[in-house]
Amino acid sequence: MNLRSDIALIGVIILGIFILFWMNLLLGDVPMKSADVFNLLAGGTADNPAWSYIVESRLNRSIVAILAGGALAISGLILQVFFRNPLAGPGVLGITSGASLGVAVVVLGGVTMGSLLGNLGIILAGIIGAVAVLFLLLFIARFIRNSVTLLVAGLMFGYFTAALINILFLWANETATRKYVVWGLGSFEGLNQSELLIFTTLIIVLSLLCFMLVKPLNALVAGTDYAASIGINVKSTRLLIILFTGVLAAIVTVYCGPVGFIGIAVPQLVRVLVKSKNHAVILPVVFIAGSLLALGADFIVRMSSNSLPLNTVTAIVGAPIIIWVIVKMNQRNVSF
Amino acid sequence: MLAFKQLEIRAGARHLFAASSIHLRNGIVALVGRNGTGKSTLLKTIMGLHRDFSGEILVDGKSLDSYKPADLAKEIAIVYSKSNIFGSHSGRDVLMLGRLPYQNAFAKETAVDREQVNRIIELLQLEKFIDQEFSVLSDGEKQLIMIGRAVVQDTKIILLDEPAAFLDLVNRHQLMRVLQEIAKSTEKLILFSTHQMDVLPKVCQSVLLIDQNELRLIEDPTTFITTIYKSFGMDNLETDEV
Repeated sequence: MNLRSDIALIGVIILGIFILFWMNLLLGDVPMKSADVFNLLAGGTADNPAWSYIVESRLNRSIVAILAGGALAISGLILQVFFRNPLAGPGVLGITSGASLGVAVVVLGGVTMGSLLGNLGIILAGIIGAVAVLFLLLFIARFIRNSVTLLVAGLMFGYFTAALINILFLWANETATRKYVVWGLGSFEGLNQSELLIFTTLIIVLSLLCFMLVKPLNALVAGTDYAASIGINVKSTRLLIILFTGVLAAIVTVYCGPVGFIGIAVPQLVRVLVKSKNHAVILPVVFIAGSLLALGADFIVRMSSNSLPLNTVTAIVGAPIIIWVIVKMNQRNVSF
Repeated sequence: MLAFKQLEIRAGARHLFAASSIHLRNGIVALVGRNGTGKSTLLKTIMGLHRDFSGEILVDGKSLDSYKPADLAKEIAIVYSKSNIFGSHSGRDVLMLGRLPYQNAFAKETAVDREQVNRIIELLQLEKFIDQEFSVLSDGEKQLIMIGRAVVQDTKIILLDEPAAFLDLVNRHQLMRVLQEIAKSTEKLILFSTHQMDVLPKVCQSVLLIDQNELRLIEDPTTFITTIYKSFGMDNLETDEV
């Protein structure tokens, strides 16, 4: 029974991804026919030569949405289980803000994404910012036992780094400032082929590495003390969790901006819907559900002719889900 | 099964207690001592989670240091006084966590795992609430499930850190009955810390007492209570509800 309902859920999500993916290629300011898109994807040509660029750009941003949504969602899932709090996520804990600060230092300093060196520089800065915040948070966690209080500390990191970024604006020129502000609204578009290659490789490799955490995550639902007693090396697990979630969230943030809500809402929703308690199942389901939500959000953005910022759409979809989960949590009177 | 040799346990700058040579075999053993004497620290040390000690702890004849966490999990299981689970796990899901040390990297459940879980559900009579969600169960039911989880782990030693701390009188009796049942049907060493003295002579083969910074083994059930009370400096038994 449980297995069947999980398989049905996976089927529905994958079907949804296919439909949205296809619609994202066909629809937009320039509508296209299925036959033409098929033809172009197969390497053929279309009547209008400009169409191949349009399809390529739509294809690229759809791939970015699928990987970015998945990455944020599994990063959120792992953090929620580790902190045993359904409100944890890369955004809430200040990890995205840490990555933003790293990006701000480099971008407001005048470096652009265009060159490979600039690319790597910004990625590295984002990762350093994200992982630094996580280490700081873990250090504070030694003194704070209550995980809600810890979340508040994470939020404060977010405000603090935002303030630091505002200070950085004082020295930045207008072009750099505008570039940073536009980046901050979030978007899955605008990656060129080489950036897409870097992004895709990093996200896929890191997401696969997260499967190393299957047994630790299964055990951590009972808390670190019990996890240690069933053979989990808590210290090394903690390190892996910081690295994987921090780097995943940082890479997405560097390329797509600080995308909110997917990292909290998707794992919450999937943990309610999925029956299996094995993270070997939950991890991939959360990934594809994150892909679906991100793709859906991008579709809405595109249907508005790119006038709605991505973060506006994810907030409108994500915030109600989070509120619903909080209400449900209180009804069941579950203490965390 | 579990032995201490010239053991001396510290917590930071504080010297907690020492034990010259103690050997525990299978059966039920209580760990008694006043608050702050180091009962929980001793259990943590045996779990390999507290490293601030000198001397030797032997688990099944081998030094504690020679075990990797994954191997120690097949030798020792533990039950804490309070547990909560993050997620909508059923009691059965929680029992299955005890099989984790035996599963592959993807935590695949085998027929043996399921069989073991079913056997323990039957042994401890957990059928009534095992398929309900863990978080809605009473403290007593939760604790029985956590004990079941420890038995499912299939270890030679089960430690319990004040397992009855949050239980009412009826559940405390139930808990002791279950521990006796486990001791009778398996060859395990069950070591539990407690402040409850009345049950000791009936239930335990021996008592570990932490007193004046020393860990001692009391082996004669008729002297359990008098020895403990004397060590606590309470000679007048009449004024106490024992």
